Amino acid sequence: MQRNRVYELLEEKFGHETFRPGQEEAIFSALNGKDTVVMLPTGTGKSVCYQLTGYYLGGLTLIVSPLLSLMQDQVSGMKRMGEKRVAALNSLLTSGEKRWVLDHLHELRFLFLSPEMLQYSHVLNRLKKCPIRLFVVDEAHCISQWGLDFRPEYLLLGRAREELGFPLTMALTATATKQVRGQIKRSLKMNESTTQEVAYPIDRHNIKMHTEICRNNKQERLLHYVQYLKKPGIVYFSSKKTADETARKLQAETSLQVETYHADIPAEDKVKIQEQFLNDELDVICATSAFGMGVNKQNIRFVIHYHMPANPEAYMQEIGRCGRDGKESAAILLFEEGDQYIQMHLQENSLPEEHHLMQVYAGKEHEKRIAEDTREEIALHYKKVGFSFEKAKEQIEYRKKFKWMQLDFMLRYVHTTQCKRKFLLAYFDEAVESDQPGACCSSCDPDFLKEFQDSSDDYLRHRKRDENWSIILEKLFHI
Amino acid sequence: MSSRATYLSYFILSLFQRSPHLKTAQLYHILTGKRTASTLYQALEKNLLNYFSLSESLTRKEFEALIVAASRQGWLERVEESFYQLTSTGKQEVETYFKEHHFPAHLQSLRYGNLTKPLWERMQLVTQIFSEKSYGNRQYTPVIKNYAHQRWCKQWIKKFAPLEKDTTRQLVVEWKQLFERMEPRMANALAMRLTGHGQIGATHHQTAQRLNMETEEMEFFILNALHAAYTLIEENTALFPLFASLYTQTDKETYEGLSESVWITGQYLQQDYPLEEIAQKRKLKLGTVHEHIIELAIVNPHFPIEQYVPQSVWHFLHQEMEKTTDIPYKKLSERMNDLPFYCYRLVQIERKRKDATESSV
Ligand SMILES: [Zn+2]
Repeated sequence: MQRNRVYELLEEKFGHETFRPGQEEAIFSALNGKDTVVMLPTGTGKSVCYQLTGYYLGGLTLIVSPLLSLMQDQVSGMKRMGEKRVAALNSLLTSGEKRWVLDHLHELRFLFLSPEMLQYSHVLNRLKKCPIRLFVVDEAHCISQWGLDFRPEYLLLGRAREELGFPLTMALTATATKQVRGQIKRSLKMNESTTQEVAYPIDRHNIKMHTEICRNNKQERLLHYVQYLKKPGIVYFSSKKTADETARKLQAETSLQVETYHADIPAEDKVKIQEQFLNDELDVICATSAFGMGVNKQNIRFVIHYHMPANPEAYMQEIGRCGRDGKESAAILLFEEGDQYIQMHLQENSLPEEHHLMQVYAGKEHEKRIAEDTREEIALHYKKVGFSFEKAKEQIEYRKKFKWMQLDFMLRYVHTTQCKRKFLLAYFDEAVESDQPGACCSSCDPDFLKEFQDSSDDYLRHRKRDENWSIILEKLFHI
Repeated sequence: MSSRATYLSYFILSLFQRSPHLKTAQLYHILTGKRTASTLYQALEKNLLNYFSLSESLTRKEFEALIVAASRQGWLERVEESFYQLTSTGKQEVETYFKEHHFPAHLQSLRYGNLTKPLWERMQLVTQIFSEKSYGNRQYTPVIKNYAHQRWCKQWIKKFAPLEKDTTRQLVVEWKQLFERMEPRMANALAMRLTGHGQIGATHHQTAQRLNMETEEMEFFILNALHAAYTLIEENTALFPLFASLYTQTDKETYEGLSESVWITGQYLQQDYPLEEIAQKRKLKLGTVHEHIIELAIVNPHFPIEQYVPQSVWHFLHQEMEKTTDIPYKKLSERMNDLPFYCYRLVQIERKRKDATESSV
């Protein structure tokens, strides 16, 4: 392997002179021919890891990615960077377009595909004829039933990988426990003794943690914080309705620019809100967990959780969206006794009940069923991957218990008087480096939020919006 | 009602003013767009075609609650069984309300119902593409996520509007000509929603805020502005070659205000296929083809009605209707043995059309 070539490629293809932490280790591990599980926090340039490796190796790099919308962004992102030999293969394409992609595999460098595409034998057969130099599984934690966003169709990737003759593999994931990492390797049929793990420490020193127990005054506390703290920031909710209502209150009672973001927001507004936020035109976004994936904004100063998230993985992922510029940022969790039941209720509705299982398992083998909801979908996939009814039932029970445990952990995080950071990192088997500069969390220094007061001149950029059509047109077009 | 009444409820009440003696069930079918030849004809008869399918998501329950509330207020009264009309206080209420709020006078929901969204999305996308291009920027997020629209616009640009300075200039000219011909407030509202280089369009909430309206009124306002714009484009294609090209192609894809099946029948008619042959080819009953013709005649004011009514029948019907405007079909069919119902309907439509143009002059 030519080390120099790697650095040349970094400059040539990405315009960087140095790697970010973790990237180099991941790339060299793969270039040494080792299957690699890469755990890097979101927003730290995971894509460089596989793209650069792909460029070095030549041939075709396959990237399995779970989110259709993200896939589109990735493809157009690469095209903008000058890479023409990139395509996506997913259900959004017309059948003609799919055929075109499959007919031109040998001309492609990077092919993004959704996991279900690898279930089709005509796709697999085409891929088999094409030397795959690198097999990438993005968001690999979706494989784990113990992970955050379990996607049953990910369970079938191991089989696809086997059929393709075990190509060199790089599995990328955000926060994941040891247990989840282990399961990624088993599911993908990676050799557990030779597979490398590149795990970048998930602790982000510049994110300071604060928890607060509210007593019927959560709205007031939130109102206080969004005005007091340096902006911009995100407030996460577990209900769309509360997000909307709170946003309305913030719009009415403060001079801040506030928008809501959740599944029911019209698609066009979603793009506008994201872009306005990136462009520093908004102070606060009231969002559900739907917001954040693929939003790469560097200067988010706070993330407040108005409702407690379901598990530490989600929490780390969501607070990880602030302070990407390395500057100090605040992660605040507002808790009110009873909030845990909101999560319990949501979780009860996320796993198949026995009757879902029975329905699915009673169906005939050749019967093509379309899942009616996610619960039935999960049941269907258990069947598809060959679990017996009993085993499926057992799995679901296990997952239920596991979810309780995660929720219980979050409750303890709220209440602990120990260092919050140490407590949270222990969940990911990670220790805190001893000499932390400055404040750390609300246990170590109850008053640390003082440092985050908005001095208001660093976020004074609300441009007055033009409202006259002729001025708007003049600015829109440079002619 | 007054404190909680929404824009939509005042708007619906105003329709009772426009069209006295309205059956509530009819009105509900018209507003939610029940596409049958008879509902469409009722809409024409009641002068409500422009509001056909205006509020497709309105539930029966919501609609009835609104009627009950207005009756309790004494704004609406029942005249005969299931016929309603506005009382004088009701009239006053509605008039006062629309002095303070805009009235969507440009709406053409029947004609533009299916066209509204896709055409506006394409206009926005094309604007963004040329705006970014004019600044030489290639790295931006398309404001319309819909992949099919993105692909469509790319193709359209390739074929009809090369991504060059001249096209950009033409696009700016067209926007200017369009906005100059609109009420300034409407033009501003559409402009503030456009996205391009250095400007991200206003969201629903921001638009409402800037127009100082509740969300529902704002949505009507924008819809009204779009329909005003579409009418301008449709009637002045020479002024708007780019917009007209987007308009015509998108209109075709959305069946020119018709349902897909009726549109296909219309295509056959344009090629002068006899009705029986169309029915045979399309495996439809002849009666269904007749209904299609009725829909075509209602939606398209230029549809050549006289071509589908035998001359003798045409003369007979006009003569009779001249004597008695609302003469029922049954009476006439007693006099002319095999009078086809659709001919009767077509001549009715023709007369309605004439009335409408005369009264608008
Ligand atoms: Zn601490």
